[in-house]
Amino acid sequence: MTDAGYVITGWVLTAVVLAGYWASIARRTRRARRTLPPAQSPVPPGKSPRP
Amino acid sequence: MREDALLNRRLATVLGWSALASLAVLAVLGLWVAPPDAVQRDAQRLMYLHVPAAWLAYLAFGVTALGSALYLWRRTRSPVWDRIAGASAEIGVVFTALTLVLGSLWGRPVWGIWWAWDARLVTTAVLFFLYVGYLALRRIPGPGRANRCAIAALIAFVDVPIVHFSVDWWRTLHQEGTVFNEELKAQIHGTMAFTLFWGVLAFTLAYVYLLDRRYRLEALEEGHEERELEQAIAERVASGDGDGSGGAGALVDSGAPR
Repeated sequence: MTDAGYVITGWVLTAVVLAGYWASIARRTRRARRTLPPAQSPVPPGKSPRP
Repeated sequence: MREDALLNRRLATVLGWSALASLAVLAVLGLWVAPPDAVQRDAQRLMYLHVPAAWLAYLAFGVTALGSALYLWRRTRSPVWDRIAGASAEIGVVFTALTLVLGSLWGRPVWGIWWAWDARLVTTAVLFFLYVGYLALRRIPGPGRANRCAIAALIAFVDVPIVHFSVDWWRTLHQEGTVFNEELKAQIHGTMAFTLFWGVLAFTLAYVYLLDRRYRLEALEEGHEERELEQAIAERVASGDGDGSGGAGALVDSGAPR
């Protein structure tokens, strides 16, 4: 592999890892909110939680 | 119920977009604007990610240590510090993993090897595993969970200065600090220096944004643990354990910080 190959791999990998980590937090947060009982849900009454 | 968060929603949104924009600018600076290094050629462009990732790992573990110390100190004890510690440690692990992988990708074209049993590399790998262990420890429920984790975080943090000074204390293949060296004289200038510092800024914005998001999740998960525990106690009492004096009492302390 050329220098450019290592550089591109490193930059793409960083983007994928940061985006993947952000997406993982977002997914876990959505799942945690969905399973909250209505009384403790941060979503105001009458509004359904975001899908 | 108001959702627990470190930043208000608007500030968090602004911060998220700022982090994304500054990372995009970093890509332009690092891949096109900064000139190739005279010795390392284009492989040096990986340093604009590797160095900020390493510095942010130090910062993240520093915040974990600080949060843990504040949790252990009676006068400042609050579940907020425990959550910050846990959230920051997870982000630190991600940045440490990036540091190791990016360093390896840089080492192959410049050193000719993917890995060396070098003091800096080994202590960084140890740092990674120490904090993976810390995260595993956080998942074990029980009385005094937060205390146990805070002590573990302070012990793990001892490795951070060892990682940083390893290049001064031992003869290593890894180069000495480019900016924070013994003479405190930066060995990088011009566009290259600007790109490196921009990288640190972009990664710091991303870190603060992710810390807020991860903190919110930590607070939500903590609420779940407490409710599951309350439900388990209620079921046990209802199933004929009378007044719940049997095993229920032993379950009261989930280890979740209050």
